[in-house]
Amino acid sequence: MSSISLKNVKKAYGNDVVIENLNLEIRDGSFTVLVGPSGCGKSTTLRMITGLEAVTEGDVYIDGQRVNDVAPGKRDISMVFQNYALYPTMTVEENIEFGLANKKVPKEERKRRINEVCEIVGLTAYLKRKPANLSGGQRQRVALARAMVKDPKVFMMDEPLSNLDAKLRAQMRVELINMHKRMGTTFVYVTHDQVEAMTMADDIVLMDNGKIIQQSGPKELYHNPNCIYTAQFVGTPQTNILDGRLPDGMKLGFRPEKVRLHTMNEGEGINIPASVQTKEMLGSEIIYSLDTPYGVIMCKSEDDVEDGTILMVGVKFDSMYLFGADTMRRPLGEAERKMIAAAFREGKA
Amino acid sequence: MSKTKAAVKPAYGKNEKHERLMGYILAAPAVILLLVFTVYPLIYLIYRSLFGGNLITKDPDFVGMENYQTLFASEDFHKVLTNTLVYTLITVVLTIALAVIIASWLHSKRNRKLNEITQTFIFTPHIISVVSVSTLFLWLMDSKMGFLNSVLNALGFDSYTFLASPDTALFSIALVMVWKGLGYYVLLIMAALQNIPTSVYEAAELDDTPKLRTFFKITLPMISPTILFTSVVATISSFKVFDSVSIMTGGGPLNSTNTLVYYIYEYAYRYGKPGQACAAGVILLIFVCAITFLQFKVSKKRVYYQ
Repeated sequence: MSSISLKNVKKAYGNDVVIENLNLEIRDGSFTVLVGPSGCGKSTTLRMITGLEAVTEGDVYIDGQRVNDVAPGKRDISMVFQNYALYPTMTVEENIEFGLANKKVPKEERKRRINEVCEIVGLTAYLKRKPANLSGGQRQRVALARAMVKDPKVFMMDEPLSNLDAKLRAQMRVELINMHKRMGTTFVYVTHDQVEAMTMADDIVLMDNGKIIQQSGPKELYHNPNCIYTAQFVGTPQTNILDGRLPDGMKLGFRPEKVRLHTMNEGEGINIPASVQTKEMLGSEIIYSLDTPYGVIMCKSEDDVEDGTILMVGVKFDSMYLFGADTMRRPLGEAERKMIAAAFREGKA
Repeated sequence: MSKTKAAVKPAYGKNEKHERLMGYILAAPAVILLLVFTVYPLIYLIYRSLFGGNLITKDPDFVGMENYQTLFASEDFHKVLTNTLVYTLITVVLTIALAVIIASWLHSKRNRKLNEITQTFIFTPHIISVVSVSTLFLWLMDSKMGFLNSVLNALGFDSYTFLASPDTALFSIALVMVWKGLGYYVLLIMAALQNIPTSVYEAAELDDTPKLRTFFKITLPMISPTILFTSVVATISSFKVFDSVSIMTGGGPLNSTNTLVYYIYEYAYRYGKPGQACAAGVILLIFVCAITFLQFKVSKKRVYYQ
């Protein structure tokens, strides 16, 4: 178990600065997910924690100890790579054993731990096989077993599920959550997939352009985004942003599932005239794309309305986010409600 | 139903016929060259080894296995076989070992400029003809006035006999040929090293693997197919060594550098015994086949294929 902290970390490749100044705290025993689009610096951050990438400036601490000059192998970290990075010339057993043998763990102890771990991940029948003769899911398990067997302080995963098919991915997500509960170790997980982040994390670190945009629990991140970027990154379809109606370049945001296919009372919310453009049937709910005087807005609802219907839709003040011209979240009080109500009064399109 | 079939089939058949013909036409030049310059000479080699006579005999007598018997009874031939095997062993082992070491060293260096310069220097001898290299080293290795000995003397060492003594001549030729061929093998092994994914090395780093153990447990097994391939190629070319022997020593001193192909050449053109030369050629062929087969057989278990 360990906490991790990055203080004023900078990473540059030559003149190309990838991360300018990063401060990150990862709680002991947490399942922290670094999420963001490709090239946002999340993998680089992970690799700096492991030591596979050196920090250009700043300090990395694991368990309160500065590890800048500690070799990756001495940081007591395990990592699961995106492509698994199994040793192709070794059998499953040798792959799992390799790290232990390097640490000079006695042979019987090694055998015991390998058997234990393989029991957990269900690899016992494949110990003598080479990675080339395993399926993607099995290779994934070998990578997990190899990481688990070392009983590390920190468990790193770099997009470990991206090479699996959708069904297996969903299954592995549950297994990883269970694994985290069982091991109680600090997990640091990198992904670009918001679903993985939302489903598994205790703590999400949303990154963009080498900066942390928001760090919070999944619920907080979803319901209380601190800027437009966060609001639009999590949730599908993404948060509606209405621009150009409010004074001072302010923008109004609300999630598609908060759009009601009926009108709101004065003082409760705003009403928007709309016509149904497209309709996607998902089963339990329907996603509508609505044409309105303020642009296209997305709506997720259980109500069934025909294509082409013209109607009034409503959004409650409680479900709205107000953003300033700098895209950062603004408080939405009584005065702002009045301002919004005035801006969106019916017929003022 | 049958009507449709009949309607479709000729069109398909015509197309297939056309494709087949095209295939034959495209393969023909290579096949003809192979037949004329490889298969026919090979068969003729075996056929001619059963006859006596000299180069200008019109109808040589059939002598059966007599040429082979003469060869195996000859002490010279035993010496030649031993020389060839020793030479091959020295060149192949030295070449592959050095190539793996140099390639790994180059691969571990991230300095691209230095890498390019080193590679160019190592590779250049490969593009120079054997004749030039041999002539050059004949002078460099001269035991009295050679450059190498002046360097040795200047450094306070005794002169080395190089090509002048039966004890050192074969080794000296082997050294020259290793120097000449090294660049090519370094290049092949470098390519193999570059194919190893970096993430595997990173995994090893996180597993706290010592450098040497990484080399022997990960790098070496992963480039084993290339090592096998290069060692087979190097073995075959060592068995066929001729130009350097012919120029640098002419098989001497005291037959100490006489190798199989040089022996074949001498018997065919100097001593005028083509039958015996052909028999030696057949033996060379059998040797090369056997050793290649053995290499594949032995390493089948040790080589890792993806």
